[in-house]
Amino acid sequence: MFEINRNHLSVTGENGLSTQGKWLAGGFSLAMIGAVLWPLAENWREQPQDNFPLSYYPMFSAKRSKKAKVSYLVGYDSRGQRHILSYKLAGSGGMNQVRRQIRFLVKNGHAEKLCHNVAERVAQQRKGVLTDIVRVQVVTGTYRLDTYFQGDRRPLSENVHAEYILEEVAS
Amino acid sequence: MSWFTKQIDSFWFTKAPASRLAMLRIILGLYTLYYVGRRFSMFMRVAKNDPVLFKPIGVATHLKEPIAPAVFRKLLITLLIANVAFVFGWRHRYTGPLFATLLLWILCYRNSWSMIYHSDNTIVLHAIILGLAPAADALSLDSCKQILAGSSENGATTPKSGAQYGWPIQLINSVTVITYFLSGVAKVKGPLGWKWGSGESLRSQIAVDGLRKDVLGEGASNLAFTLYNQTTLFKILAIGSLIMELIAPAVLFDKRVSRLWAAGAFLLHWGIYFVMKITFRYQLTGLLYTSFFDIERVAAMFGNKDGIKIA
Repeated sequence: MFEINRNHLSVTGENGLSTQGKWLAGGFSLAMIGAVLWPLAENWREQPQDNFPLSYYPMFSAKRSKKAKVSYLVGYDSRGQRHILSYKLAGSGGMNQVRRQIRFLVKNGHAEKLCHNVAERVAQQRKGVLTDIVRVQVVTGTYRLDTYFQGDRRPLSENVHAEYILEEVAS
Repeated sequence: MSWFTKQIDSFWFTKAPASRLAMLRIILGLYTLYYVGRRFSMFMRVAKNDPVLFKPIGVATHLKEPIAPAVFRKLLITLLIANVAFVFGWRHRYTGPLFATLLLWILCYRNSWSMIYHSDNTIVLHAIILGLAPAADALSLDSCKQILAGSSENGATTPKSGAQYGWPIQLINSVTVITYFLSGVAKVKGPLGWKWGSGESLRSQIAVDGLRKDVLGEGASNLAFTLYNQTTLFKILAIGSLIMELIAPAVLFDKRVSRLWAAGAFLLHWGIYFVMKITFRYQLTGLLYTSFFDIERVAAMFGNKDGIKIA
């Protein structure tokens, strides 16, 4: 005696799954396992492509250097003091998503637009450290990891891609 | 049936109570409800991003440009409604696949804006399995309806248990361990090969992550600074994580070993949290690993011993 639930893989017999049910469930299981294992092949490709939700987890195979480059936001207050500005001023979706978006925009010549948007948000928010920010920059800093984690947090070099004076934004 | 097929049959089509699979449905459903519900506004802001940042992936690949935010909002609301139906096991035959499809699509779209959040992978894969499996034959509105119909006819009901509830759990466990295995292979197939086990790459990965957090205004974990010079510790951690990942598929053959492995993976994610401040919530809460345990006992504590008797 079978009870066939068409949308569910549970063609049942008296003692659980029928033979037909086992074939269906087995086929679905194999397809699912095969799909999850499929991205494994990317490790052998010259130009591997990541995807979702089937991934080969490229963050673990990335080549690591002793130096690291990051694009980020910097603000200066009226006394000329430098402040790191939160990535949240650049966009939404979590730190890593916004970090990648900043990098993409800088790389593709949109740093001016990004800097203007950030300056606008600083001008709108005006709370905490943002109260006294008069200048905003989009920069890419290169850091030596060893020295950074020994306590010297200054970048080896810093490239300013765009800058906005806040009065300019207001006007 | 040959010896080999018998072995496969008894391993894959192992019997399990309907309430175990039902508990997994409820746990995942509650988690996704919290996960998507809490991020509703953030997902909407992401959908309104500059179209230049849109790089569609997964099932969203067919899109040439982002969809209108108003359409995305409607899809998000539909997902949440399907999610509630999934938790309650209401018309699961229809709402299960609908929930899984919508979750897959929404998370593909959400991850199509320059960054893939890999921690979402297992959530979606588990949702697909539970959405298509008979996960609402107990602890659900569907099963209540069946009980009421059964009671009026026979005056009694029998506890539900069988292979139809066992194989989806085996599949969930398999998908979980494979994702760890893939991470292990990525490490040894990378430029360092087996030298990844020296711990240097792991240390650099943690350092780069900490640096990024610092300069982007989130702040690195203090532990990342404290541990940076402990190269031996990183070597131990790297070898430990490699072993845990590469042996992952093998643990499926023994229940006790798989539970030990699940406990180890759970602790690994807490270690990552303390050193890197990365919150893999599905892993950190332990919910990812519930399929390795007799989770129906939680329901039994509340008087629902076999998923049939409703307290």
